[in-house]
Amino acid sequence: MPWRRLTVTVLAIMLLIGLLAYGFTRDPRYIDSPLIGRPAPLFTLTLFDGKNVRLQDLRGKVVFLNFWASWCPPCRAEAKDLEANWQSFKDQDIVFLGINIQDKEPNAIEYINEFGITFPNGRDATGRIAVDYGVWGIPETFFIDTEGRITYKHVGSLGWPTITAKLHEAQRSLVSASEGRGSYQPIR
Amino acid sequence: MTAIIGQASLLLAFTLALWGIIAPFLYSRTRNQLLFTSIRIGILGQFIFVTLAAASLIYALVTTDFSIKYVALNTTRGTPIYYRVTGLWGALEGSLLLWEWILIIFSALVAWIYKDRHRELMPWVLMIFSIVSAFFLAVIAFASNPFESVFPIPADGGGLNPLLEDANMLTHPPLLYTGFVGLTVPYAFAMAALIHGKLDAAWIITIRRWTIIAWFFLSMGNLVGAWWSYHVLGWGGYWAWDPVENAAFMPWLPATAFLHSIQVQERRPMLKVWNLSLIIIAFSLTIFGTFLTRSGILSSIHAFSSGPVGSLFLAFLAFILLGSFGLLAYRADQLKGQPVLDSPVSRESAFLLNNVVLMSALFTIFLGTIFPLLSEAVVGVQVSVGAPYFNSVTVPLFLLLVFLMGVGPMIAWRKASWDNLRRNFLWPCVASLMVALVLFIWRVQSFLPLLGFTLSAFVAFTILFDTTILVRARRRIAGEGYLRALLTLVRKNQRRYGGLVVHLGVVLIIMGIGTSMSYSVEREATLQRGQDLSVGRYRVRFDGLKGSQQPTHFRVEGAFRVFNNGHDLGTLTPALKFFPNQKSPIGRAVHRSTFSEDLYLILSGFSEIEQNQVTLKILVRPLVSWIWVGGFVMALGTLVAILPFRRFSSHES
Amino acid sequence: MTRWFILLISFWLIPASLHAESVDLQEQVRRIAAELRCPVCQALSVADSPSEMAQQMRAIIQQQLKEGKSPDEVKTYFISKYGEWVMLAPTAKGFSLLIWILPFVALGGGILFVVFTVRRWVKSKPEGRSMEADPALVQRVKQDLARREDWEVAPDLEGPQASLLRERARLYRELQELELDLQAGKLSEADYHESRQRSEVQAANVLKELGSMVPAAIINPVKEGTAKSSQPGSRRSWVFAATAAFLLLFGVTLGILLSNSLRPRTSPEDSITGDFLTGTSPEVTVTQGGDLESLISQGRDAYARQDWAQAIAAFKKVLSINSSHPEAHAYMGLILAGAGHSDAALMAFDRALSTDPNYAMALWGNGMVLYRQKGDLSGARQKLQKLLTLLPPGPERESVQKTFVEMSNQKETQLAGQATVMSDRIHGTISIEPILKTKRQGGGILFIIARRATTQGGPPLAVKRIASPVFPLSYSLGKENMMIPGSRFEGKVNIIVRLDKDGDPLTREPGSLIGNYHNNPVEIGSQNVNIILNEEIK
Repeated sequence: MPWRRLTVTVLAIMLLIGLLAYGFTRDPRYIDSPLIGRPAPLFTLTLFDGKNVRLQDLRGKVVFLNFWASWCPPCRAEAKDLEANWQSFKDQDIVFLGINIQDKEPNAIEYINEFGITFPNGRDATGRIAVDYGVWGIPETFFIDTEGRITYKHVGSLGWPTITAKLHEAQRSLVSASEGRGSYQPIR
Repeated sequence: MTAIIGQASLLLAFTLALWGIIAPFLYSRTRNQLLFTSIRIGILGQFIFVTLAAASLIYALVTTDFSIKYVALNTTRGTPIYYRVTGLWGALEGSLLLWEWILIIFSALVAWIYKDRHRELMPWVLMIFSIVSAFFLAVIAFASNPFESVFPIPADGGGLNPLLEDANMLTHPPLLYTGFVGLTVPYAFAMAALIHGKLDAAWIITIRRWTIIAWFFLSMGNLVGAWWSYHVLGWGGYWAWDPVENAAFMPWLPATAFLHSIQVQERRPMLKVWNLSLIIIAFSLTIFGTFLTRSGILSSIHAFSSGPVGSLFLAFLAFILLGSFGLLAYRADQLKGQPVLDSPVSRESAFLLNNVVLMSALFTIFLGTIFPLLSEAVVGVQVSVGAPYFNSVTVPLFLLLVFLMGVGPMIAWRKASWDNLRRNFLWPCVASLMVALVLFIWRVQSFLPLLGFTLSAFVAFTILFDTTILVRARRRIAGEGYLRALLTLVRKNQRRYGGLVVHLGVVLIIMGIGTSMSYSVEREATLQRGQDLSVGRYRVRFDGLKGSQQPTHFRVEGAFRVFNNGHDLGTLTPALKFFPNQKSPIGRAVHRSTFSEDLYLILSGFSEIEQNQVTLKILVRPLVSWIWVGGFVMALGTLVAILPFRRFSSHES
Repeated sequence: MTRWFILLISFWLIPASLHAESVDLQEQVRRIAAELRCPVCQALSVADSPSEMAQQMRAIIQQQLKEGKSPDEVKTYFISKYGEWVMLAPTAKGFSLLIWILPFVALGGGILFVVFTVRRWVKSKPEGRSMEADPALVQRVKQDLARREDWEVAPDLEGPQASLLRERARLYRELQELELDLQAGKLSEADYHESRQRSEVQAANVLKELGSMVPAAIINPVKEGTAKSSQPGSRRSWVFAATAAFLLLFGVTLGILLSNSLRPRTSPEDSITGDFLTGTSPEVTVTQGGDLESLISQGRDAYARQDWAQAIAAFKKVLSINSSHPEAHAYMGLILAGAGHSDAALMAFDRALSTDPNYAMALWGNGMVLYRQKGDLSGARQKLQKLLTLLPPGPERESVQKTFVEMSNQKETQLAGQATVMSDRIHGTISIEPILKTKRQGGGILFIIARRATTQGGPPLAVKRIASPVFPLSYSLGKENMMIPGSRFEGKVNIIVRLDKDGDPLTREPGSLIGNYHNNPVEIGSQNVNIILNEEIK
């Protein structure tokens, strides 16, 4: 019985199979973000009501940055929750900011009206802000702490518990170990 | 009713497959002739039942029996008949059934052709077929069943994926699957020989014939896939190094290596373990390929929606690899020959080098395909391995292969004389360098394409010179005319000349690929009506947009008038198709092919605010037609190699 | 002489072809984009991808290049946003270095391995093999070769002589190849003679062994040969026949496909591949008119008789001939609706309407199903309104109008599936009367006003203000819209909407539009409080 030969063969094959089995544990479409724990890229956003907002002006507050589009079902699913959260958090030095990407202005405004969204929203016409944040799916949400560092990124729709928990973490500048996932839609 | 017939047939075939696994063991103990016959009947029975199941699914598709979920998801009342039939392989469950059907056709064919021969091996061969068949039937019957019912019965179905609505859907999957499944036959024989323990070289000839058939279908399947990608997908390319495309190409490499190294084994008792390994690798790669497509571990445009099937295939792959290589390792000692070579300068060495290059190519492509997994598993970094990587690393390998294609046929078996060799290479070398000079002066000024062309010319010239010398020799000896001498030469050395024609085809393909990759010109612009865009000597004028409602989609066509140095070449109409349940439109590019170059028009988009404003992308790609012509030449060469001309020769003498 | 030529040319061409070329901005953008992976269609590069994201990324690349950044800096920027994932070829650093060097290591290692193994195999050649053989047998070998070409043995031949016969076949084949190689000039005369002699000796020895085994087998080699060739011959004829049949079938199929798929262009808008290959047929299908007509009239008659099964059969046949026949779809819809399958009926009507949006029967059927069976009054109203615009005055028009009026007077029922009923809000949709839509100049402020039903005068209970409304508009009125905080948002209210031009709720200037909810007052907590702006202030 050529034991050594057999053992080597079996070992090599099991290594390969193990590697392939590892593949089942991840979603190949998912792109890990290198931005967590890093300073949030600065931008200037023109809101729908005409005002300009600069991210650096919001230093000292926790920022909840949400990328959305009107044609995206998971965005619609979370919209009411976001608005409700905004209502409860708005006096706590927390700013909710929505960035509309890959959309037409009338549709975006209609979306805002439909869900009665009151926190500031603006449109990223050129997609520059989206690329700056490495956006690849919507909705994507970034939690930025008072120093301007990204503490958490969530791809997909968010629920109340996650929002509350991550906002509190951001207030204490705790960087999350991993990204979050929900049901998302790839961007166009 | 149809679903019941289908389900029942699958289950019956599965039980017969189980019997086909057990019976050979019983036969080897008892030597009962009845058992032997029962094995063959088992295969025949599986063939009948699987055909029945496939036929019932096709029937259900054609009659739009929406009580079956598969039919409801993959066809609509409005789908034309031929697309309903292709619905058989349009989605996961059906494609597994197609694979099983082709497998059982091959098994039945083998059982019938060899019914009185290879008596010792046949039970084991059929057992291997039954093992693979049992696996596929188990997956189809229990894990992803195409005959699942749906309630309530919808009034109309979901329809074929719009990207699949194309004539190539009729040819590409069946050809490719035949290639994959065809590799099961040599594998079965190889395993049977290993199990049985009778390891002298005779059965290796049988394997060679089946391997060449599978290799042929694999080549054609891949080429038709490239054609489809070029013709329909509308990005102007034909090969994206997508993981599933790689998985379809990878079995071709060890099959090609086998077709060469087997010639060494036919002449000398050597390379036995290596040849068996090649067959095992080729077959395992087909299972690996189908695993990749259905498991979802690598993102690919070809992937079927993943289900539980992935882990089942991984388990089967593990079983195949462990069983085959384990058995090979166990029997390796019995297989070792006494390899003796007469000279390092011999065709044997050339073929060994050929194997090294082909297997290095396989290693490279395999590594590149699974590297994202490896990187994430080992260091946690997400990387992508795409076309730029594969293009840069495989080019030197394929150029080396072209060089070997020129050198190999010129070297004699066993021992070649150096002086003769040098003399034989002289003229082809000179001729190809002259070609290189001409090309350099004319247009081709970068290194790699120039090298590619030179080597390709070298191959063509060596074949030409070699054939000329032999035809002349024949005329001298037998006094025949040129044409007759050539025909006799080909007839007497069928395999050799078939192989040389295939080499020519491969060279054409490599030239086509190399040139179109290095010398494509691309221009994109936004045009108003009446404006034009020039690329090279083509001028393309935008004449207007037209929208029309088609039965399955809404089509926006742009009319573009093409001028070549003033000559009016007519109108081309690339389009964008808007399907109701797709968020982005599907492009339909149009191209105009000539032997020297293709003009490829892509309608990237149109403005919704301005009337008649479009974004047009023009690609001018040289020598793309040579790829398809090369494919035909390969097919021709294969036919020359395998068609039975020899029958006539025995009548003459 | 020629050797010098070769050397000269190669040494000149190689360096001459290795210089780089300069490129313009577009080409630079394309080159960088070809190395980046599109995050949307992940199989394509940013250069090839048609997606919106890829277009935006290409614009960013162009902008950065214009700003003066180098290609490497642009790539680093994208890597800092998306990670290493975005590069289509891994950068040769760290673990990824492996992917760049392993292939060449494998190739180099393989070649070295082959070189060493070949050397070993050549060295292990046993010297001084016996070159002795019976000259008579050597002569026999030569005669065998001259007489016949094909010495192949069936691969599954069994028996004690089998391996010897195969060895003989192999050696004979070797001798034939030597002959060919000599003719082709690959072998020198000396090598040829040496190899030939050796093979002949080996063959002679094999013949000797065969002779010593079973003499009878060799006496009649011709018979054995023919016996063997007849079996492979007959099998070969099967293969031949099968190949020919397959090719014929293939050729015929291809011919049919091609001739059906290509047709001459009848108009500039036509395309030569027509409908056969791409599965899309032109809007007007040419069918066998006679058959179709008779089938349709059959169906109509069956429907009139209430013979549903016959009608369905006839219309299904019609649909199999022409899958987008609006009348057949409309009738199918009516039959399905009559049977109570309202969803299927709606789908059938949709198909009819997608082919012919003005098909009266489908519009009518659609409207009636929506009204009677689904309770979707607004949808029904839409369809019936359209129908009204199409019908000439007459009894049909009157009956539709009657239904229309009946719908308007109906109390609204909550049949259509709605989201959670929140009892302290009012939900609904606001739309504009089509005729007035054209008069509207865009913009404006929409006011939704709720006044208590019980009181007259005084401030309204709740007002909602929406800027630049886009119709149809879904609205939701709740306690946050109350004018006076503290009062309770419950009870019955009258809902009015006004599209104001200047935004001042107190003035009513001409041109503003007003709409009253037709079923005022409503209970707070109602859904589907749908209002149409149908009055213009003069």
